[in-house]
Amino acid sequence: MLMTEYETTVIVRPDVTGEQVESALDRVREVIAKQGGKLIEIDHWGKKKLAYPMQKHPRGIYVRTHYLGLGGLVGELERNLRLNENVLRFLTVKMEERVESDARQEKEYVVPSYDEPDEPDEPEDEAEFDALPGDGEEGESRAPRGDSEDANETAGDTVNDKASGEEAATAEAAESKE
Amino acid sequence: MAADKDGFRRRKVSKLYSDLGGKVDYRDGANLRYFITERGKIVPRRISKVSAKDQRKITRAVKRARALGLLPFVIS
Repeated sequence: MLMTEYETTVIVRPDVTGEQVESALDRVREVIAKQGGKLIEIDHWGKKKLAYPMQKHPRGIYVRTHYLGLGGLVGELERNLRLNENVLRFLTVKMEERVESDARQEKEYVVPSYDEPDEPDEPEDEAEFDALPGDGEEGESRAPRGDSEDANETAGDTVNDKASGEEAATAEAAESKE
Repeated sequence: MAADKDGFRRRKVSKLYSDLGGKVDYRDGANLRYFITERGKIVPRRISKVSAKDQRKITRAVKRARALGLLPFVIS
């Protein structure tokens, strides 16, 4: 069955407990299941420093969910996220259209240890903001996966992408970057 | 990249831009920092010489990253 591949990154308030994050994620799972979608991955980035405060919070807990779905799924998922006051913000990106639902394997969910120390803040020194950098690489690079999403975009609290996508690079191709 | 013999019309794209240009990812805030100025603006193509196609990808990725709080809208 052909479905569309989406990725929704959610920023949760930094002061919530692990159980509250899990209950929000259970809601996500529930909605995806109810709408006939297929969850592929839930990826925890941990608590990160925000580039600017959101609702006075200097940090946020980032969780990225990756799933396949049909028409109404994104709207329904976002409606549920909007109702959850622990969610500061979310962004949905369409990664690929017309994906065979068996083409994506569900990844095992690893429950993060929520009481782990926070990820160190990204360095804020001015050297990172070079307008015209040289060839020197600095900082770690996360391997981007499925990086060719193609969509319009509106910034704001309920960012959502709904334009056509071009073919997404396969995970293997992108991972070879590292 | 037209490297003309007289050298006048050569377009030099910074290696990093061309390396990253094809595969920028809005999740990768650290690497996206290369595409913004110290004020937080997206580096114009005029300066960086990236292709129009790559510039669109960069713009899209930077804007998404901003919405997610991975990149600042302004650095003051």
